[in-house]
Amino acid sequence: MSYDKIRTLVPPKAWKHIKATWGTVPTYAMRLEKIRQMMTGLFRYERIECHDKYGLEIQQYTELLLQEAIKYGPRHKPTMETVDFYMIEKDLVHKTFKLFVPRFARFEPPYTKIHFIPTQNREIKRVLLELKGNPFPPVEPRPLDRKGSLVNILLAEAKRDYVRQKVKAESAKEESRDAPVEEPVEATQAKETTEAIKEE
Amino acid sequence: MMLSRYRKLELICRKFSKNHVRFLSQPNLAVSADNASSTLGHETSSDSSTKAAITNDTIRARRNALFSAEKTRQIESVRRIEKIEVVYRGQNEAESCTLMMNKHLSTPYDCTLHIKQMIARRSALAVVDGKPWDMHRPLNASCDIQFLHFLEENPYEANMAFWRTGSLLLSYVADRAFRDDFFVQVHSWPYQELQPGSFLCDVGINLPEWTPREEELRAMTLIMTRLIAKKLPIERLEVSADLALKMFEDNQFKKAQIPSIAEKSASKERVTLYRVDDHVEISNGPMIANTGLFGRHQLTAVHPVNYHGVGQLYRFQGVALPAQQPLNYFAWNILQNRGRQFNSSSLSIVTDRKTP
Amino acid sequence: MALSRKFALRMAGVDITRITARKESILASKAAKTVLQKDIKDIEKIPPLRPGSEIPASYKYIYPEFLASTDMVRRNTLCEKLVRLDMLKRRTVLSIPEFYPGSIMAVTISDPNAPNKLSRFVGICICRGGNGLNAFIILRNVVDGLGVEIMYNLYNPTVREIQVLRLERRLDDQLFYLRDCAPEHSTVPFDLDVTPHPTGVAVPLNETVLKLNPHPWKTRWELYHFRGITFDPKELPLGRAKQLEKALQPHEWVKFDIMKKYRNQIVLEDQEEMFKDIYQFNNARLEKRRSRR
Repeated sequence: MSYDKIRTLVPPKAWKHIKATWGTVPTYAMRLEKIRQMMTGLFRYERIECHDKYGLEIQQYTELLLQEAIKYGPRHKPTMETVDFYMIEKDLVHKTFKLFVPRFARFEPPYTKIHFIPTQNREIKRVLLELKGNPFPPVEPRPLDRKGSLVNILLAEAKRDYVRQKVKAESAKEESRDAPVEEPVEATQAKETTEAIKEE
Repeated sequence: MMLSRYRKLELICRKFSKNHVRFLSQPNLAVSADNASSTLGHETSSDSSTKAAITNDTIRARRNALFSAEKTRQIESVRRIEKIEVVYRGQNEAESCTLMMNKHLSTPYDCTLHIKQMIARRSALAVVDGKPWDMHRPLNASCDIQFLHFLEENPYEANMAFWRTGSLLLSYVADRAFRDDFFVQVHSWPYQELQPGSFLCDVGINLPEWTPREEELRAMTLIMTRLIAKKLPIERLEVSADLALKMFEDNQFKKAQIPSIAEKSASKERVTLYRVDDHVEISNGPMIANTGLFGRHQLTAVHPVNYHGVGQLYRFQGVALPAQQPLNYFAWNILQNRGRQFNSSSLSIVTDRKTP
Repeated sequence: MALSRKFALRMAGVDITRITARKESILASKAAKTVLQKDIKDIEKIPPLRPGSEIPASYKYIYPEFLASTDMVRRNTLCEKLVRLDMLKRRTVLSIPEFYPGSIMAVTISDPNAPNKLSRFVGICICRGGNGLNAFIILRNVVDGLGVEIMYNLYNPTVREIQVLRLERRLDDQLFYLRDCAPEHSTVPFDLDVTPHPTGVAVPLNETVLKLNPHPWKTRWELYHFRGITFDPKELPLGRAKQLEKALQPHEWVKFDIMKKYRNQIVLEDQEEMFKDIYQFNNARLEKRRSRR
């Protein structure tokens, strides 16, 4: 089966140190078992928190699984078997095909998002992995409109000034071209300003 | 004489050092940063030479003493401590609280000390029952309170207060920068406009024709820098028109303005004063909490200006940004260059206009 | 002494990466059959690499060295692009024909020590591998009773000519087991004439199944899914027969491990990108020939 490109980070090497329990040696079956468990959790709760390596690994598996499910649908036997394998709780198979596939048909891949969470210990990195379109409030706050901040107001005014000057310069050029007579425009403007000050 | 780069730097450093009293190479400079190098406990230049010489320093000291006396008098006049309920509604349920504060004594800043250090440090302005309120102004009744800073979605009030405080700092600088030969009288500043790109202060100095040099502008900016580094609070006081006249008897402009200002107040005879360090000014609107909230700043230019019926004043212009909003040097240069241009706002006003 | 399989292979001088470990032979796979077993009279009838792409699917088998390695650690798109351009430059000077493991080929190289400064070797192509300019073939022949295998890099500038004497496919894409088969299956006469392959006809599949010599073998051939060999499991040494069943059977969950499959392939999008250069090159050549007529 040929896959399309996954639009999330795929590290060059698969992370193989996934253990089912602390102290055990990671094996091939144990690794897949752990991945199954976490994917089942993700598909049920739509947002899970985990170790960063797990999160990145499961993100790849989820993307591929959803890609397959969307491309081939439930009638395709290998797809059905794969989804059945990864969903330990069988009502999630139904959820995948009836809920997620129509939902993600609207989205463009990637279908998942990872957020890095702050931790007390710098060595340990935790991650929040969520499916897009989940019903929870967003992880990141909506971006604020910064137009009213002082810096932006001042810079916007400076920009307007710059544009005005440019327009003036161009119109002055045109005038000088049309009427190449007597005084240049800048000198008259300077005179006007000094007169205005003297009046006051 | 072609100075090497290192030599030029050395000269500039020596100019700004506290031990160096006068500019060696330019003896006729009107302005020196060292006039303001040590503020309180400073040996005024008038101590040795003259008898009862009226210099800027003496006037300032006198005004400061009167302000302090009035402030302590007002605090002591509160005989009985009554409690008021101040309701703070934070971003979520956990932050909201009702505080029992003291009437006429507690300020919004005191309220923040009960809530969160972050709010205490970053708040520039308070909003009490919907009205902008100084952080160090005592609360008079039970109220709702909010705190404003510069990174909100709509920091309009905070921006205006910031610009107003900028004008206050310019008047502070103008008062101290000049040598004793030159008598400085701060006139006023016009209503805040962010559009022209600089805050203003109109000052009367008995200097007939003066265009400041680069070094002088830099020296004046340094006075601002030192004040900002001290992070001093900006205090507010409401006084009677008589006391205000007494405090500002040396300033002909203010003497003329005070009656009209007092009329426009609620009780027809109160004038609002603000003090930063030892400099007292009249102003109507709220100022920000303390000078430490300033980030980038510069006194960009001084232009001569003719006021109708008054004569020639000097318009001090400055640009500043809040410390919460850093800006890279390229964009800052753009704003500085804009601030150097002559700001012609409110040039058609009449002298007895109320200073906002 | 019970050696681990990997160590045993290394001792036998066989690079592990070149042996297809526990996967179906690429050329006998279903996908290859649909492409290679068709009599293609007209170029347009070859199915495309991807629905909607211009590049035919047969490119995967004719020009496998244009694809990058599946080892993602060694991927560098810019490097790959530059290498492809270099390969095309070489192909303007030297014609590298279509061939498959199992075809009989002759390679002529420049040899300073040979008479005429040229040296020609004829043999069966037992292996084809490498990516980019590292593309190589291994030719096997039995010369004076001694089995000889020589590896040639296709893009080596000292290679003067590559000739395909007989174009055919075998059941496997690696024929290293010929080392443990009777020598007549590896012998190719040096003066073999070229059997021209008519254009448009599918590459014939040689379905011979060879019997391996009795033990000892150079490599544990029984552990791989080679279709071109037979052996009697009873003849295996003690213990190995037990391991055989287990070894041949992959873990039942391998078929569900989707990321493993993803990592072992190059995505079709990228494949198209890689074949674009050679496709344009071929088209330009065709147009030149047509314009000449």
